[in-house]
Order: sequence, then C-alpha cells, then structure tokens
Amino acid sequence: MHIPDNYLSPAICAVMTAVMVPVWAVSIHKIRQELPKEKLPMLGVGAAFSFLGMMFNIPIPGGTTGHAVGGTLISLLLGPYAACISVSVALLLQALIFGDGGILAFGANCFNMAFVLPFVGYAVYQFIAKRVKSSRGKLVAAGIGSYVGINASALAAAIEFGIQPALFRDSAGNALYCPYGLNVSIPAMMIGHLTVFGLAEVVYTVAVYAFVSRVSPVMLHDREGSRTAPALKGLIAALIVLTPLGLLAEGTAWGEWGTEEIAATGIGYTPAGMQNGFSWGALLPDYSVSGMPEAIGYVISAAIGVALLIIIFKLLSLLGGGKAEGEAA
Amino acid sequence: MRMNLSVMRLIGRVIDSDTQFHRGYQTPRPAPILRLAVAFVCILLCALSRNAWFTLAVLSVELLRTAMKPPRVMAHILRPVAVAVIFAAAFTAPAIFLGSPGSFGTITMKVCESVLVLSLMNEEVSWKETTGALSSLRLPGIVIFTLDTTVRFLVILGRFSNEMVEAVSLRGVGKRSWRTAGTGGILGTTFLKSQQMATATSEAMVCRGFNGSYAPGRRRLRANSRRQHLIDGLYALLIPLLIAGFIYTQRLMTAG
Amino acid sequence: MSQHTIQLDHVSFAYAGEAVPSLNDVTTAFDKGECVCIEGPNGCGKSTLFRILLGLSYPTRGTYTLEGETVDAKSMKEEAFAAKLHRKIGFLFQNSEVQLFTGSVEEEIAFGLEQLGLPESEVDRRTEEYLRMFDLAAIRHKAPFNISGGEKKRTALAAVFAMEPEILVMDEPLSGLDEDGQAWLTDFIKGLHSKERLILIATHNRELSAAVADRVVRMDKNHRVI
Repeated sequence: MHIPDNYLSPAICAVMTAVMVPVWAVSIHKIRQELPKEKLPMLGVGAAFSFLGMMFNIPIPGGTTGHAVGGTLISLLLGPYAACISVSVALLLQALIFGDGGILAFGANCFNMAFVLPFVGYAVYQFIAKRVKSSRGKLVAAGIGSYVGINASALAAAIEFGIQPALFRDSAGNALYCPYGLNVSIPAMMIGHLTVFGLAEVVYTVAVYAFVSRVSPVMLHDREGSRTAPALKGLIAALIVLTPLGLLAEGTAWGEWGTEEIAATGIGYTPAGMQNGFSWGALLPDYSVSGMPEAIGYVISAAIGVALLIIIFKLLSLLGGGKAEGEAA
Repeated sequence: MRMNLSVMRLIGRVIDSDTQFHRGYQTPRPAPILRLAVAFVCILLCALSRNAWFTLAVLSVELLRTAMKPPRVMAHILRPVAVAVIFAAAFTAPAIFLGSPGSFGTITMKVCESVLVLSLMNEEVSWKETTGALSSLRLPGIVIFTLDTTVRFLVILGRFSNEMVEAVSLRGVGKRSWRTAGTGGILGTTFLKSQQMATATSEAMVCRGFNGSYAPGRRRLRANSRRQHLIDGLYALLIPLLIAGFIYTQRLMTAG
Repeated sequence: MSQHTIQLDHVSFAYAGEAVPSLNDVTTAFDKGECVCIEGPNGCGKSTLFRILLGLSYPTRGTYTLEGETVDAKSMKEEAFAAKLHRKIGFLFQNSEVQLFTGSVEEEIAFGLEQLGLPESEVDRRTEEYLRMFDLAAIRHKAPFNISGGEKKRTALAAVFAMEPEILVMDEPLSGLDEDGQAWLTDFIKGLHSKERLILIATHNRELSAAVADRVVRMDKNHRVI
C-alpha cells in the first residue's frame, strides 16, 4: 500500500504531512509519558518488525500470498502511540533507503499506515475485547481489529488517489497525477484489501498475537484504552477541518468536482488524444513546447540518447560474460 | 523460499553498503545532508512541474551519471528504476483510454526520475551517512534513537528469523506448507526474542551512563577541513540553480 | 574498621511471581585491589548477583552498599547517584552482541565517554588510545554487527574500559572466544591487577580462576554463597 511519488500532488502531500505533524507530536509526548526509558529500544524493534513483516509473504487460503503491514499488531503489542512512531520510522527507512514509497508522499503513507491503521485497529480491538472474556474472544477481536484497520487505511489511500484528477490537470487537460477518479480508485483499492491484503493482515496479526499471548502474555499492551478514544476523535476532527483547505489550495472551485470526475471515466467523452489519431505526442504532453531554445532541447535529447546507449551496452556486457571487468572498483 | 530471499537481500544491502564505504572513498564528497536536500528538491520540483522539460533535464543528467558507473553498479542502480517504471506504465496505461492519455507519459517519466535520483543517491551515500544526516536535523531524540536502533535490529532480526526459517525447513522433508510450519511461531518467537534483546540493550546503555535523554553523538564520519566546506558550499549552490531552472522551464509553457 | 568497597548483607532476590529466589541470603564483601572469581553451576544466581551490583535490579531483602552508600530503588532514582554508580562500575555482558548498539566501533567507544560528559578533545584522545590498545583501529568504521565474535568482544571491552571504571565486572568473559582469544584475554586480565581496582569475574572456567583470581567465591545451586 505504499504510495510512490508523483501519484499524489505535492499539495496533497503537504497537507497530509501537516496533518501528521500533530499526530507525531502527540505520539511522542505520550510515549515519553507512558513508556519507561528501558523500553525505548522497543520502538526500534517495532519498526524493524513492521519492516520485516512487510517482507513476509503470508499464505492465504486459496493458494495466493499477500503482504501485511502489521500496524494493528504492533499497536496491540506496544500501544497505538508507539505503533505510530515505529511504523513511521519503518516507512521513512523504506522510502529513503529501499525506495519503497515516495519521499514527498511520506506524510500520506504515514497517515494511512502509521495513523489510521494502528489507531482504528486498536480502537476496534478495544471495543470488542472489552465485551468478551475468553482469550479466544480476544483473538477474534485482534483479527477483526486488524481487518477493519487495514481496510480503513486502504480507503484513506483510495480517497487520496481519487481526488487527484479532479484537482490537478495540465494545459492539455491530462491529469497531472493519479488519473483515476474516486469511482475507480475506491473499488480498485478496496477489492484488493477486502480480500487478499485484508486476509494477509488478519493472518499475520492473529498468528503472532496468538503465539505471544500463549507464550508470554505479559508482553501484550492491554490497557483499558479509554485515553485513546478522545485523542483519536480530536485528531479526526482536525483532519476534517484541514482537508478542504488543501483541496481549495489549488484554486479549483469546489463544485467542479462532479463534472470533471465524470468526464475522466470516459462516459460520453472521446479522449482528445484519440480524436486526432493516436500520436506519441499525446502520451508525453508539452514535449514540443515552443519557446524552448532549440540548442538546449538538442542537448537534453542528445544527453538522454547517449546515456541510454551507454547503459544498454554496459548491461549487455554484463550478460555477455564481461563479469571480470564488472567487478572492478 | 521467497521469504528467505527478500530478507537476505535486505540484510545484504545493509551489510554491503557498510563494507563498500570507507574502503576507497578518501576524496571528500558533499555532506550527506546536502545530498539529501538536493535529492529532495529535485523530486519536489519535478513533481510540481507542469511540463516535461524540467523533468527531462534532470533525467538526462542522472542518466549520464548512471551511465558512467561500472556495469554491475549500474545494473544495481537501475533495477528499482525498472521496476517502478514498469509498474507506473501499467498503472497509467488504462488512462489512455479513459480520457487522460498524457498521464501515461507524464507519470511514467516522473517516476523514472524520482526513483533514479534516490537510487543514485543511495549508491553514493551509505545508509549510515543517511541516518546520520537525518539525526543532524532537529528531530526529537526519540525518533533519532528509534532510527538508529531500527537498522541495527533489522540486521539482527533478519539473521535470526532467517536462521529460524532454515531450522524449520530442515526439520521437514519435502514440500512444506507454511501453515503447518507455523508462520506465527516464527514471527512470534522473533518478536519475543527481540523484546529480550531490546531489554538487554537498554540495560547495556544504562550501564554506560545513558539516562534517557538521547543526545545524538557527533558522527565522526567527515573531515572538518576548509576543502570540505568548499565542496559543500559549491554543491549547495545546486539548490538555487535547480529552482532557477524550474522557474525558467515553467515559464516556457504557452498559456492555455 | 574501614568500609568495604562492596558490601552485601543478607541479600535475597526473587523475580516477580517466582516462588524460588534467585539469590538466597547472600552476605559477602569485595575490596579494591583484589580480583575475585565467582564460580558456580548454571542457574546459581551469578548473573542475578551482578545485576544487583550494577543497580539493574534491587534486593528484595537485605542491603547492598557501595563505598558506604546504600544502593536501592530509592537512591537510584536520583540521577546524580545513578550516574556515579555507572561511572564507578563497568560491566562486560556475557553476550557482546547486545552490548554493542551504535553504528561503528569508534562510536561505540565514544558513546560512554560522551555520556560521561568529557570534553570533545578528551573523548577523541581516549577513543584513539583504546582503539589502538585493543587492536581495533583497522575496523574502526565497521558496524558492530558486522564484525567477528572476537572483534565484538574486544570492542565491548574497549567501550567499557575507555570509561576507566574503578570496578570491573565481567560475566563469563571467555565465552565466544577461540583458544587464542581466550589466552589473550586471560593475560589481559592479569595485567589489570592494581591496588586501585576491583575485578569481579563470573566464570565456569577453572583455568581462568586459577590464573587471575586472588580469591574464589563459590555459589551453589541453592543460590547461596558457600
């Protein structure tokens, strides 16, 4: 579910990051208050664990596999505030060093996976767990919590994707970022998560939770989470207030949403590029912008051309057994 | 075994970068924090760009720099780029028929640029320098501490869970279904083990005088010479240059 | 009568929820200038004893006195007191891996020195000195989790030693070392003997005790000192 760069506009990315700042601040504050200093390294453990979890392929009934994020699991083991920071750090490392998830989109990814996922999952778990007595019941609560959590997080991502085409288009009318509106992005994201990824998350969460509660139940973080609810509500309220500001930031009138969205799906609308016959120019808009000094245009095309040629030849040399020289330096 | 492979690749990547550096890099290079800043500015400006020129210009420079690396390093840099580009092309292809054909080219090209910039940066800056650069920012102590311990635990946990996976598979003959092998057991034990280790680590830190407030230690990775400052200064000039280039290319768009 | 450096009076310790105590009515004393080996079978409580000496756990009964001052939960709450204790006592864990937690060997050595609040020049000087002393200069930039077992041990030793503690506590110092490494470490410990220093070593290894100990304290499986 990691959103790479360039699928969300920088404006939305900025808004999501701005929303995350108070979430992080509150989480850190809560951690300082509640976590004794000997437990601080557990945050790193949580982050490493979340990281590793995303690399494990969970087998799902039916023969396929899926990846899990584990945000709810970590909040069950360390508490939601610690989970927020742990998952955020894991996402930061993934984005910077492993290229998973964008740099600009970091705030949005954190919002989905480090805020929505652990807090919603934890809240649902608390809600159910308070009403059941048996350990079996708590296991079910963990499963349901993680399922709801990951789907809520997928929904958030879908909305972030889906509002892009309505807001950000270039002069040729092409969407600058994600080109699919809400009516495409929501079903697309949700189908995957209500089924494969949701199941993977549940299996991951329940399997580890069951093991830990059997072997070492003191490790579980099972406070009467009455304190989380007000904080959660407060943050969601802040979000609802801030989002319209972000949407208006681009200057698009609020009402225009409806028509552009419909147009984007192609209903009763012939794509401009198709109308004039299919040309490569349609795929790379403004390639032939006039006004750019020809010389510079030449230099850039030449540079790219030369670079690509060299790259292709070097790659071929690797395949062709030039291994000895490849080892140099 | 798929799980094995990706975990080993992850560990390999972290360990590799450790041995690569401090072996041949005696010439002063720009400070990692500057490299991060320039990469960030590149990615941000390309994302904001409403026409192709800025992105193409950055792409051309980065492609040339990539082309000059030894073949094996080059392949290593280009692998994530290829993956990202293929995914982006597949993702945006339907848009051609849904009324937004330009998105295909725009997004694919921008994705290529942003992933290439980062991939090159990671090749030239070790993970230690990257996390070191992050800790020089005014982030809360807890975050920096978590960053440091995460990478450390990643390797240790990765090795541990890998050994467990091997042990489990050694105990079975023939095809093993993971369900019977107990994914929960492996992950759960890894978690509990990491709990133990975390406690032991924090006690070790306490014994060496740590009292809860983590003041990030000065990273003694860089020389503090005049020459270093000069190189840093010159490199930092890239940022206003990029911004100027961005404004110039945006102005080229004819109205409408 | 002058006070002992370390004094334990009828100290007992049991982990929360455990019926059987890990330490049972231990009374003993240690003084500077001696090197004491603590021997006993696995599970007899050697590690627990060390945890108490280090202030990581507190006696459930009895008192532990360090140079005349009582060490318990209350006194350790004071940061200044805790800092003084950690400055005086250096501990080498049995498992070096968990004891190393920074990004490079030289940072590992510098960590404790920085926590001590020493000026930067002194930190640098001591780091260089101990890198050389423990033959670590060649791997100074390597991350601790990437080096061999023997190198880890030397790094942990250097990190603790650079803080120049008056009391050195070591838990199974020879574990994880090959024959050469063990011989080297045994000689090293012999060289540490001094009037100003107290060395406590928990070990199974009779050869080590024979080589370095001024006296031997034995614990039995009933968690008592015999």
